[in-house]
This record gives sequence, structure tokens and C-alpha cells, in this order.
Amino acid sequence: MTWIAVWRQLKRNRLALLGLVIVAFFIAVALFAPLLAPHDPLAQSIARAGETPSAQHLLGRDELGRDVLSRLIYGARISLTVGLITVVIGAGIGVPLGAISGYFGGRTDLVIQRLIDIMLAFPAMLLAIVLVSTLGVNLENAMIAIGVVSIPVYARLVRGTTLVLRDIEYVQAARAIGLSNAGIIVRHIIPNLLSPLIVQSTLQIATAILWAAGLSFLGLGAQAPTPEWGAMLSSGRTFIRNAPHIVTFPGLTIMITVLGLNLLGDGLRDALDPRMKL
Amino acid sequence: MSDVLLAVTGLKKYFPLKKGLLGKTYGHVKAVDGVSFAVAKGETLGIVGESGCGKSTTARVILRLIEPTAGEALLGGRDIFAMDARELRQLRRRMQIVFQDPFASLDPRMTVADIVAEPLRVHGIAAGTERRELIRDLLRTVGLSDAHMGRHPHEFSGGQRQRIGIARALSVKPELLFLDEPVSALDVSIQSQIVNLFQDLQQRYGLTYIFIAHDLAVVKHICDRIAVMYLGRVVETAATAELFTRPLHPYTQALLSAIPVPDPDAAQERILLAGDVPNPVDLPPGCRFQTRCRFKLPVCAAAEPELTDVGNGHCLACHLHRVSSN
Repeated sequence: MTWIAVWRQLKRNRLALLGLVIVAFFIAVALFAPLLAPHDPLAQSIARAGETPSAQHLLGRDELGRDVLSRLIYGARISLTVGLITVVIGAGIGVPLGAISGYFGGRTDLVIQRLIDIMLAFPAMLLAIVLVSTLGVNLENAMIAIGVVSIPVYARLVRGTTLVLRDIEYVQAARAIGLSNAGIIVRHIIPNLLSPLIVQSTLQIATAILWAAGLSFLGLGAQAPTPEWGAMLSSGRTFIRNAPHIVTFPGLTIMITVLGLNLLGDGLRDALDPRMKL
Repeated sequence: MSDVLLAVTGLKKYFPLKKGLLGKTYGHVKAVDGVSFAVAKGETLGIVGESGCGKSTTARVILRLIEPTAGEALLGGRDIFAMDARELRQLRRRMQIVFQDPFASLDPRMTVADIVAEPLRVHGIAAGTERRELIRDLLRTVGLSDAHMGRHPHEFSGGQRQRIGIARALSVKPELLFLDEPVSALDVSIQSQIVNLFQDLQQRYGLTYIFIAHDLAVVKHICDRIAVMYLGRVVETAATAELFTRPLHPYTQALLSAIPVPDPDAAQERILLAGDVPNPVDLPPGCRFQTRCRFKLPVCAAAEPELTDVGNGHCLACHLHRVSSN
């Protein structure tokens, strides 16, 4: 299945296209943040703290008088980076683990799967909090924690698909040719796992952004004055009665980004499913 | 037989059945249960039998795609099952397999050139332009053209895909080729083309075939000798002409009677098998065909018949013949 065919499928799904537009928009915002931001996201002006939206400050000023829009624009950089890095960590460890588990089966499978069970036994957020507290509170460690917490998702997904692929005839053919087990996993198993992995990763970026915002909200992620969406939500919540715009806009931004990623992920799942082909 | 290429004796493959948390084994599926046969150089041996009788498992065990439970398989005098990793790599160049399903046997993400190049890459045969030239030759040999090299499997028909699979198997210049129902997934019109290709290739390269099938018409056309399998055992082997004119085992007789005759007026006695196929986990004592046999004797429930030569290289595992000839 070529990428052109996937694109053709995706184009027919309005909601998926909307998701793609949202995601593309936020990627562009993150890339060109210095050009787009009307103000310095860190410049404070205590005297004018909590100002409501105006022509000069489209989304108003926060509790320290910083421009909310500029902070949200710079925040896109952090959130998307968090999403990408955590997915790289989660998939980087989870995919090989799942592939080995599913391909070799037997005792190897048993050990790996029980370890995964132990990880899944803890609520993901709780496990992330424990990890961050142990490693030290900062954004890097929050990313590591979220990455580690998402390993089971990948390991399970990949194991299940590998179990099916292992017995397919082209894998048997590769063994008959004399290709090593590692060679089979790298050349035949993982390339054929790509479709479900792409879908999962799109959805996982959304989850990671939410978790990172959650950790930051709890004070375990990005530290002040970093313009991170979750942290903005957290510091603005005190003023929800007098200056509701300080929390509303970061909240909406998170919601729209996560919605966009989920719509795109769902659309990709349909587009990459060969059974959906007409 | 003078030039025996492959000799298999007492081959067994049991799949354990496990249950419970600790995976306690409570039984075995006896997929292959004491199979013996030999193939001469340049010969085509057909292995026939209904689905689930262990034909494919036999091939996969001999290719060491799955490990045997017991038995011996000598390829040119060397025991395949005793080979270490290094010898096994060399073995891969001597034996290859063509699979049944041309839609599952080619990696959908690879181009035709990559698929055919993979064995060359693994075994370090040729490189660069030389390798590309070799791939081109292989594709031409199986009736495809250079223009197909950069395409993906989904762009081909079933017959063309099967040709790609054949090119891949031929790339290492094997002596022995397992053909695991290579035409049963194809249209009848394409089947004959592929069968003819196999015959051409055999003449050109002196290949030895083990042709696994359930379509007896195709087997009759291509095979020199035929082994009939039933529930993990060979019950009868004979030269093709001999087997088709003088089938001795009741199971073989029933199989042959099921071949359709292209003449609506031909009187045809159809032997319908009654009874159930016994569970391969829990076989009855004695002959494993007794539950469906028309001629069951008391001895059949007591002792398992051994495969014995009844003359002209016609081997049979049935009490009936021995009793009636005494």
C-alpha cells in the first residue's frame, strides 16, 4: 500500500482532514514561534497583570503581566517536543521488546509480558509521578517518565501483530533462505508493523501532551517561567474568578491539539487498513 | 535407487498441547508420526493426502523451519538434524521451498528485486551490477521481465507472484526444491503454466522436487513417484503409473476414485469414505485408518501395519494385502 493510496483514503474523511489541518497548524506555529509571537513570552509587567484581551494582547495578559498568546505560541514548541520525544522513547524500547516477545515466544515471551503486566498494574499517571519524583523534578525527566510509561502500549501492540506475522509464509521463506532471527525482525517484521505503529504514535503524542500538561500542572514537569501549557493552566487557576482568560486559553489550546491528533490518528487507522480499500 | 539425494527415516513431529498457568503438557498432536521416504536425484516425489495429514509439516521439519521430535533426514549422506548453525546456512543453499499462497509468501513492503536479492544478500552471492544482472536472469528464467524489478507484489497476479517466489527459491541454485501445494491457490488456466515452468526448470537445472499436493490430476502429470500420507504416516508409495493403475491401500483407492473424469457418460465407482478422522491427539491402537476403512479386519485394531515392499518398489502399510496374499 503506497502513501498516495493512504492520502487518497484520508482525503475522503473530513474529520481526519480537519485533524491534519490542526496538527499541521500547530507544527507550523511551533516551528515559526519567534516570527509569530507578538511579544516576548517571558517579559513581565506586574502593573498590568491579568489584563483582559485587547487589540494589543489578543488573548490578554497573565498573572505576571506576560502576553498569553506569545506564551501559548512558544508553548507549542514544548508540547510537540514532549510528544515526539516521549513517543521515540516509548516506541524505541517498546517495539523491540514486543517484537522479541512475540517472535521468540515461550519463556522469553513469558518474562517480558509479566514485566509489562507489572507496569500496567500501576495507573500510568501515578507511575509517571513516582518516576519524576525519583529522577528529579524537571521537564527532561517528565519526558523520560512519560516515555517509560508508554512502553507497555507499544510492547503489547507489537507483540500481538508479531504473533500473526511470525507464521506468515514470507517470514517462513526468509527463514528457509537462512536469514537470521534479528534480520527477520528488522527486515520483515518491523516494516510490516509500520501502519499500526503510525496510528498508535499519533494517538500516543496526544496522550503524552495531556500527561505532560498534567505533570506540569502538578508542578512535576516544566518549571516557571517556561511557557508550558500545563504549567500555564496550573499557575493561572488561582485567578479563575477574576481573570478567567488566563486558564481558559491554555486549556482550549490543549483540547484542540489533542482533538486534532486524535482525529488524525483515527483517520489514519481507517486509511491504513487495507480492508477499508474500495 | 542409486543416487539417493534425500533419505528420511522415522521422522516424527509432535506438537505439545499445554494448559494452565504453568503450561503443563497434557498431550501431543502427532502431526508427523514416523514418516520414511527417499528421493533420488532429478526425481519428482509427490506427497498427497487430505489437509491436516502432515504433508506441509513434513516439508517444514526437513527444511528445519521447525525442529523435529525424532527421526533422521540424510541429504547427500549428512544428517540435516545434526547440523550446527554454520552447516545449516550452507544447507539453505541446497534446499529451498515454494509456498502455497502467493499472496502471503512475498513481503508486501519489498520490491521484486529486493525479494529475489534477499537470498543472494544473505549468502553473499555476487554484488553490485553482477547481482542485478543475476536477478534479471532469474526473472527472465521464470518468465518475468526486467520491467517488473521495481514493482511491489500487490501489482502482480497470483501466477506472476508465484513466479517471483520461484525466482527467489532458485536464486541460491538449490538441488532440492519443496513445492508446497504451489498451484492449488491458482486458477486452473494458470496452474498448467506454472506446472510447465516447473518441468522446464527441472530439465534445465537437474532439480529434484518434492511436490506436496492434494490435487491428484496435477500430481499424476508431474510426479515420478507418489507417497500417500494419512494422519502423519505414509500408507503407500509407488511409481505414479503403478499407483494409478494398481492402488492397494483402501485410502488410496478412495482418493483415486474421487478424481473427476471429464466424460459425463463414464461409469465411475465412487468410494465414499464413511466414519470420522480420528483425533490426532488420541489415535486408536492399531491401524489409524481403521475408523474409515471398508475392509477392516480384526488385526487392524490390534497392530499398526508397517510400510513394506510388496514388489516393484511398491510399498504399502496395510494388513489387508498381506492377509489376502497369504
